[in-house]
Amino acid sequence: MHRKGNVSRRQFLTAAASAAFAPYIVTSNALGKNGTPSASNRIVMGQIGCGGMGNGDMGAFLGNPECQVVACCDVDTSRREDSVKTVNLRYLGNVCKGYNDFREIIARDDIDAVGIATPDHWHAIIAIAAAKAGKDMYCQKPLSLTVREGRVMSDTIKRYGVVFQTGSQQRSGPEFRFGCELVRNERIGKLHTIKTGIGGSPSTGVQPPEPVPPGFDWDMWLGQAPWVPYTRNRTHWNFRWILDYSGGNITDWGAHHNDIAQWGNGTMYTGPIEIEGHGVFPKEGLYNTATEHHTEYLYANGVKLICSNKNKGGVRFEGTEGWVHVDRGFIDAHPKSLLQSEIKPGEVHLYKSPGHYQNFIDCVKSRKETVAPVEIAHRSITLSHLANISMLLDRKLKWNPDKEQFIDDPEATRYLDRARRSPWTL
Amino acid sequence: MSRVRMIAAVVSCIFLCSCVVVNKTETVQVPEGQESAEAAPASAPETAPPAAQAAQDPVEKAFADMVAYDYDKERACLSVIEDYCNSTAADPAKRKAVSERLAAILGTDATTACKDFVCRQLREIGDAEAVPALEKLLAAPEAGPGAASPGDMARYALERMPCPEAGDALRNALNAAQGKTRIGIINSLGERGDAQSVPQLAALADDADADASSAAVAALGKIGNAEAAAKLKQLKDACIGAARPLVIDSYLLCADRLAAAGDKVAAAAIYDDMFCPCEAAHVQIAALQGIVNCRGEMSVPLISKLLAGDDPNLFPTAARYVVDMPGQQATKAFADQLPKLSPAAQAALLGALSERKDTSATPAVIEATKSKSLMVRNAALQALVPLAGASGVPIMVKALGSEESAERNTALSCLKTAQGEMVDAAIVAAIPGADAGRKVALIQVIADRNCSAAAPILLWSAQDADKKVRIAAFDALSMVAGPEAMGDVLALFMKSEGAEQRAAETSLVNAAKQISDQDARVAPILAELANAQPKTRCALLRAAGRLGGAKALESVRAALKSDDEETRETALRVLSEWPDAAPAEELLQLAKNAPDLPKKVLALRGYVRVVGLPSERSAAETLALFAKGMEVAERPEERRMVLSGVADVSNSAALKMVEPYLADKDLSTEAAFALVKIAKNVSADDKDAAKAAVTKVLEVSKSESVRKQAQEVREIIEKYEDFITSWLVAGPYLKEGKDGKALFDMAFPPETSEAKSEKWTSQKVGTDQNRPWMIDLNATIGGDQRCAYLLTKVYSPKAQEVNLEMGSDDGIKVWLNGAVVHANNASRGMNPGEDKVKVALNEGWNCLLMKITDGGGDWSACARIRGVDGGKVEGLKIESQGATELLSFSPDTFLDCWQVSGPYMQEGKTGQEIFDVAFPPEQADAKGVEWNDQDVGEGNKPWLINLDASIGGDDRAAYLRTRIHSPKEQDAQLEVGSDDGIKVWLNGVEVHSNKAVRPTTAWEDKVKISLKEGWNDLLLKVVDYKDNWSACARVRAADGGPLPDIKCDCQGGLK
Repeated sequence: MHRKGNVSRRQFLTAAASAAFAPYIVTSNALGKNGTPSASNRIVMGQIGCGGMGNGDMGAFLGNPECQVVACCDVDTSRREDSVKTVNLRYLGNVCKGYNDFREIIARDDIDAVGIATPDHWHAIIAIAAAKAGKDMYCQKPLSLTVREGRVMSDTIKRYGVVFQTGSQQRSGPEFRFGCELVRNERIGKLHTIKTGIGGSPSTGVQPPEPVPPGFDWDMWLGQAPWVPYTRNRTHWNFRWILDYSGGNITDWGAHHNDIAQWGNGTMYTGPIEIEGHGVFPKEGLYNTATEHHTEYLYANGVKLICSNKNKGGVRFEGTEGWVHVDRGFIDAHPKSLLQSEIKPGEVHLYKSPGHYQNFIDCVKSRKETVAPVEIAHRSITLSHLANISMLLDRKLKWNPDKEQFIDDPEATRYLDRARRSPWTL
Repeated sequence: MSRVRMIAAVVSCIFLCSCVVVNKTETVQVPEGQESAEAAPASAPETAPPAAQAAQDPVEKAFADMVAYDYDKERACLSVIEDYCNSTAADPAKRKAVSERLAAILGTDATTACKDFVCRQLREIGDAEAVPALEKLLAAPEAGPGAASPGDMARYALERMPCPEAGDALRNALNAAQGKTRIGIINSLGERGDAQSVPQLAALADDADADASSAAVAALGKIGNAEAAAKLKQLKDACIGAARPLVIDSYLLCADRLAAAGDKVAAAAIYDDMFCPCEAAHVQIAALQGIVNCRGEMSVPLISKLLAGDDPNLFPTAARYVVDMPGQQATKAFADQLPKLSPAAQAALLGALSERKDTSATPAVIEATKSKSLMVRNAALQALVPLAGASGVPIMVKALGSEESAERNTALSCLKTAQGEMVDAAIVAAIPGADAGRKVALIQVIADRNCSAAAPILLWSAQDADKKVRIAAFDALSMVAGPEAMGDVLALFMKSEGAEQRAAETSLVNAAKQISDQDARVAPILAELANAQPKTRCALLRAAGRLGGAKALESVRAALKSDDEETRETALRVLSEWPDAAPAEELLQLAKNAPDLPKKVLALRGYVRVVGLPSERSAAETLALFAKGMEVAERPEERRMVLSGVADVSNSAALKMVEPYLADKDLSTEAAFALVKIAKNVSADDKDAAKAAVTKVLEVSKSESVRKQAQEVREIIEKYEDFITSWLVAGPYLKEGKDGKALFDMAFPPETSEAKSEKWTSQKVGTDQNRPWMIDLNATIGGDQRCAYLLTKVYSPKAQEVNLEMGSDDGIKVWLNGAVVHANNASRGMNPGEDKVKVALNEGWNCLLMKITDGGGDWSACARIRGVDGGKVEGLKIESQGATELLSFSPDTFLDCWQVSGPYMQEGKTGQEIFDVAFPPEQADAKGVEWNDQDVGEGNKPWLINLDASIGGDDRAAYLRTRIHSPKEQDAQLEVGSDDGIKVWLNGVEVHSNKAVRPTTAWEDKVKISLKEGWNDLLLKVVDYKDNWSACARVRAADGGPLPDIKCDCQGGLK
């Protein structure tokens, strides 16, 4: 039965938050003792994907008194069980259940939000299913495997009004916000070039098939991806070097640095009109994402974005009167005085997040848009997908960012999506 | 569907593993008219290339090889096909031909992995000609678990092929398909938006197979035409079970599709149908969004109704549509509704109106600031910020007087962020009429907004009857007052006293500091000195002292001789607080000759303070000044003060100065703290002295806290002490048009025989205090796209293997005793220890050379030597002095020129079993054996001979041959590594045999050999059991040292 009249914890919190119209405050009647929300009034969460990033995300939610993690899902039994153990140890009780199939978590009416930290090829299917069930979500980057996946994710999440935070935490970093504010307020004059520095992917030799380890659901791990025999280097962490599951370092880090480039350029809801990428792809061995890459994007506003493994790491904005270079924990500018510049009332102030996880929690309660919402993440990661397509075709592409279509280019259009292994679909 | 006719085709398959050519005849379908030789070179017997030709043409060879491709094999042949397919982009006929040729493989018994690859390629280049072969796969039986299903592979191509034939094939296959294949076809039709399939899908939506029915429902939504909508409505009306959420989702998606296609009426009908309180909240939200999208302004009443309703869950959604609803009419409707709503709804609506930024809502928002509800008032104040501009300021000012602190805080924050040209002026204008509390708040707002035009009102406020207002005004003036206000501030300053005067002093000093000339900025203050009363004079002296400069110093000196006791004491205090070291000598003399102890202490404290200020002086000069202070200091209290000053001198000479005081019982604790602090600061430059100092502190000091600090510093020093801090540097080296990556393999003089005559200079490591282990070439050389060389020598008490741990930004190549031991042409940031390589140190001095390339941005390196177990290596000494003497290069010490023959194997036998089988290359008459050139080097292993890359496979052997030239008859040491077993023949005699199962570790086996004068023939047999297959070899002197005169060549003269 559908859950008519069954108000979930999150809906309750929504009501409480709306009543106060104070986005970041839970009314006192929702609080337990000692200022901690009582267990029944916390945001109830399930974590899907319990690897490195999943445990990092889950750790943040476990440490937040406004959340209660009740479920963990992973197709690797040992990882799943470790995470369940971590949660139970944190809450000192047998409160967390482990699942092999994410659909069982999404079907739980008592769960308000899910964390998604699977390999990239699972993000879209899980996020779309969660949105259809009205769940809010914190989903790791890179958002999607294909341009089409990102479009469907964004549309579905918008349709159902669920809150979505992408794990591109640079958006919550004060140095990135300030750097983009300097650019948007033309402290460097008129912006003309952006350079993002992203390393290349590694290559490796042939990785012969191996027996699937006990407790590892290989068929579920593969999901939508074409069936291939198991070998360990396809899975944990290294999946990102294989085009069936990811897009290589270009998507892995493009989800960060190109996202900041879009922020500074004020093109978060659109994209380039021309893309020319050239790269080196391994001709042998298991990994097949670009080991070297160089892509130039041209925007309708005349700005050029150059993303390359030869650029210095981070994001460099170049204007007619100076430049800003920003990276994690690092900001530099010319002239240096820009670093002391103050953004005044009336100027462009960008979204100020109190921290990436906290921003998500706040928005779950206020129903406001997060600092890294799905449409922005989709537009950002589209840059990386377009780079890969251009590099694979080894030629310039013309793109209509409004329609999200290549212009008169049926060959490139084929690359905008992939057929999914049955029974998986978007 | 296009007509096809049958022809016979031959696909040549060369199975490398058995070295046998197999011809297979298969029946495949090729579209009519495509059977010409040009169109399908491999599909007709007469055009099938003979094996010899196939072996010569890489594409033909790849076509032949690919049919045997599997997941445990190299995919080089697939890469050739990929490149070939890409190359046909501009030639439709060629592309069609290759597509046909690939499709033909699907009907053969090529491996599943090969067919998988073919389908991936057809997704990219396939057209109608490839469809029939793919359609056949759709009809093939589904594979069980643990295998690729033909249907999935076929759809991988068909779903993305734009030709209508692909859709036809999917529809044709649908009725007969079963299980997962059927679900996959349904999914693909949905993704293609295949309207022609709606009747079939509509029927399947009622299928008894719940999975198929669900897939059909989802596909109908994706196709989303009127026919699909009709079926979905029927399903929705009838469906109450677990399938209902999927049906509803599909129904809503269908409405989105209809709306996007322009049929907003039909779409809106669906949304209306779904916008029902009986549905889950998120479904209602989706329906509401659809209604707003379809009806635009027409949906204002609906949104108003929601806001007036009693479901607060929907307020945020309703508010979102208020923001986007176009037109002033909509603003008016919502503004009119505002007062009638519940407080929660009003708050949500006010937020939305503020985001709409339509100022016609401003009167309603102003009215809401008078609400009885605090929540509404706060929301209204916030809405004024973007809507009201300066006209909102009086309302916010009024709210500053609210009894509710939340409202006062909101008003304050709104005033700070209010936008608009006249806002500053409006805030200033509000000050005169405000009560004292509000005045203080408004003055703070002005300071926060950095409103420089506000100086007059602040000067006026600085004369307010209320002291709090006056102090706030001075505080604000210290932020906003410029030099033009200095006269007024000075006048007020002279009249003020106490806390007010201190605030005034700061605003006076800050205003004066904006004048660039040091004497000019202090002149107005000094001008008042002569006629001032003693109290005022003292205040003026303090202000002048903070500004410093020669004129001010002159006046303060004069004041030291004043008749007035208070003036003299003030002058002394001002001098001791001087902003630079100009009065140092004066303070020292005052300390020596002071009439009483307090003055002596004050002067000495001032002396220590000013000597410790940052200056251009050398450390030795500063220490000499402190030593003078120490002479003057008599009591332990003052001597401690001097020691605390010395503690800030970051120079190892400071350690020497302080250490004797450890023995002084009155000073030992202070001396110990000073030593620890200095040691910490100099540890990068002089770690031995730093370590000795903290070790001494740990021996002597009894203070727990100082011991703890000393221990921490020692641990840091020990943690980083293995990092090599003594380097000679040569460079930069660059070449026009070459980037850092390209420079990596270009040999500049330091890596050639000219190395010794290059200019090598000593370079400091640890210029970045936080990274004491790093040599920062960007700081010392700078520039982009270049390289530099670092050189040092390492003394080892014995021959031993150690780990060399390095980090580099960007690329790094390392020579130990003239041989390359590591190469990584990376583009990366600094990460110490990222590269680790096992190297063999000789007994005695070893020469270590590193080449560091830079591809832009930072440029740095670090290196240290650790044991192979990761622990410390005892007895090593590292110094760069004299390292150039050891420079020598023996590029041939690892043998980098080889020819290979193989693979050799025996049916059914493992690698171990064929280890002793004598294959032709080791037989007496080895003529007729085919030898090919073998690549050497891979990634950071320039010496690696990778047989997996050149041959591949398991349970087989290969032979490698080369020849070595020795200038004389001599004993030497051959060093080899292998994965797995290895046999070695020198000049036809077996000299080594090791039936190992192991990975290749550089130079693992060491073999004594005798080289004859001239050329020596070397033959290796490397046997692979499983997985990797590789080897390496080098020749060293008999004692393991370098053997520079050896040459290696495999190009000519091999027997």
